[in-house]
Amino acid sequence: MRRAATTLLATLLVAAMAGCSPPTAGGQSAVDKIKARGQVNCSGSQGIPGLSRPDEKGVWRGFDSDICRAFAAAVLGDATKVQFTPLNAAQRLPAVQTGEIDVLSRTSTITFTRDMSIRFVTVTLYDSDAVIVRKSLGVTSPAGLNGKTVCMQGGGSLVETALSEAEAEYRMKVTRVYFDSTITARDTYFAGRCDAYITDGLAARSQLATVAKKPEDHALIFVGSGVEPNGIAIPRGDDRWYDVTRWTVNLLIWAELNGVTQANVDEMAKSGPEQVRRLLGGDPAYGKALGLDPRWAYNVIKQVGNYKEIWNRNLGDDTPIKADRRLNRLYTEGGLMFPFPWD
Amino acid sequence: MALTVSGPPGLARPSRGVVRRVDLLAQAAAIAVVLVVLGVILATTRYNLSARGIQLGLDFLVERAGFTVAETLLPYDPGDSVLRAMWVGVTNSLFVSIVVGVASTILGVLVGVCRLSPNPMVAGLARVWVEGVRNTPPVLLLIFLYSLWWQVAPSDHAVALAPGVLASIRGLAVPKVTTPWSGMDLLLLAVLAGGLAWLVARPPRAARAMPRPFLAGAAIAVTALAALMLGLDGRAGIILPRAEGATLASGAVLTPELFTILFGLTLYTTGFIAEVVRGGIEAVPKGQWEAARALGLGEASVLRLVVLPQMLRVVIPPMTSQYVNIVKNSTLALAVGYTDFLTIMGTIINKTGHAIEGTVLIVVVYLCINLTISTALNLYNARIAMRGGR
Repeated sequence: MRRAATTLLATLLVAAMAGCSPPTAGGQSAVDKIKARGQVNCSGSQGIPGLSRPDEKGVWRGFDSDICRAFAAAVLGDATKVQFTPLNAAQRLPAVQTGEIDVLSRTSTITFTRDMSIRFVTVTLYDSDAVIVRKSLGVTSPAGLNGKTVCMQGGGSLVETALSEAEAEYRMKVTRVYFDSTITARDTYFAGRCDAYITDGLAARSQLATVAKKPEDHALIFVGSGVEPNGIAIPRGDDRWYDVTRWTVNLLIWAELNGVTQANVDEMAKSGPEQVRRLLGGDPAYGKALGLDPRWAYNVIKQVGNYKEIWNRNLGDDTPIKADRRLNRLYTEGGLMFPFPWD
Repeated sequence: MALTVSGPPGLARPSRGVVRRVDLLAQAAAIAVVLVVLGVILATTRYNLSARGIQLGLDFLVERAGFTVAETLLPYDPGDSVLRAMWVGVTNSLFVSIVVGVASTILGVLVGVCRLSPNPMVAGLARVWVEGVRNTPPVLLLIFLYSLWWQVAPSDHAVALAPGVLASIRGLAVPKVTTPWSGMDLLLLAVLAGGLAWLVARPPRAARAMPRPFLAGAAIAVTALAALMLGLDGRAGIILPRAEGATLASGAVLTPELFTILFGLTLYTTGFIAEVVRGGIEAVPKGQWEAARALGLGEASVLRLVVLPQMLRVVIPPMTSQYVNIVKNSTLALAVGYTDFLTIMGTIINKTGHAIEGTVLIVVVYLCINLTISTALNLYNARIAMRGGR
């Protein structure tokens, strides 16, 4: 009798435990979840200055991080309500698929295979692939890397493809050393384990500017096709969240083109051109269509700034990185950035 | 309850039959509940997966892998299939596990014996080793060793540690011995030699009349002939290591990553195995030592002939879990840049997006490896265990 009772008790316990984890509602949009939760769950990288890295106070700083803040400002009206989760290259896709993060904003190149498993929304910046190499080796082009050892992040990051392409193009062979973190790869390079370190162009520039003890000892060589379209991604099948993220990024570029800045957004909302006034809260139809507050666009620009402001704050001439905007300039200035019309 | 009570009424305890039936009923209920819970989990998972647009399937295994692997035992090319990449990862992991397993067993027995040495210096050092590694996380030890390598090894030239052994930040180079046989040839020869040795040890009835030395000679001759025929087109030689700056240009090069995982895990596991061995030795009754000494055996012979064989019975079960731990700890290779199975699976998951199948495959592969180890050692344990009252 006693054994029977124990068995029954155990069964009840199992049943109770199963009951504690109710099935998550798969049909609910991330927008509703974010509103209910009061914060946006966003990806962080493993620490690339200028793109995403926590500062001395533990606040995430960088271009990719600020894109997340723009979403928080749009949905919640408060750019600070973002929870960042640091992820490495191999962790990021599953994190989006499982809903651990609402949005991936972390130096991720848009590719066919990735877009088939998560949903890329739009390009946030055009990057390239770059090799940091010691000047003392006398390497000036990718061909000079023949027989050299290259430290890099494993886990299927796109720099690997770029390196393989360069190997085929210049009929050469390099020895690879893979790490699970691009930071470890960088440190091993700077310690002398490798002749070179390959990563994204902006990341390479930022590592040289902020981490290298003597930046003048190292040279940058660009490899691969030259363009890595980095984008933000969300889980598949969430059209509402797709609308919000896609048009929030569009807003940032639009604001730059129309000269709407953090400083003048109040004035612009009152006395700017008609289209500007409408978008900044004058016409509630925008917010209504997206399921957001009528002043969502105003909140984003007021709290985060436009594309140019985000760039300058994190990567521009005011920072040690001083990255050239190149393709990330507005189309009116010779770049590839242009906003879709708000008609 | 609609149970028929078979015993007479007024009994203080229910009869055996009743107890059994209640038990059965409870167990049936338990199974039913477990099945329902499993069903709910499965249904929820399927619902959530389809809601998130994730499709399950193993089709991706035959697709092109498309990524490079730094160090492989087997030939591998990014154009190979995902399945091939997985197999390359498994062999890399098994290689580390086997080398660490063999090395730490030998060292562990030595250190375990040293722990019991009457010499305080020897016993003390062994104790420092054991306590040191037993009380630190293995990943810390590995990262420490790996960064130690950068700090200590010269980054602009190579130093000769011994004649023919060069070390630099790029790794450790030793003379490379080239045999005229390929890996496959060596495997064939090993199988042949093993088979013949077994035949010599237990000759079939027809050959039992022949003298042992004759049989052994014949076996050696056959093996030698096979080796000669297989190796006719190859050349034997020794390639001495050579360095260009810090780059190790020739010889057999052990990269710092592989060296760290091999050395670090051996250091770590040795500590545990030494304790198992010490416990095993101490479990052998004192009378056995005294009896062996009374027979006039020297200390070394006492250990080898009397104590260690008896110790084996005690240590096999705990050793099994040590070997299983080695396989599990080999995944820490990730921290020091050596590409093991887990690293490769991470890449596959990232490239293909099949996180669920990938994770299940990881579990299945490690389960297979570890269950094989446990089963083999349990069989061995059953063979050497004391039987009956003997």
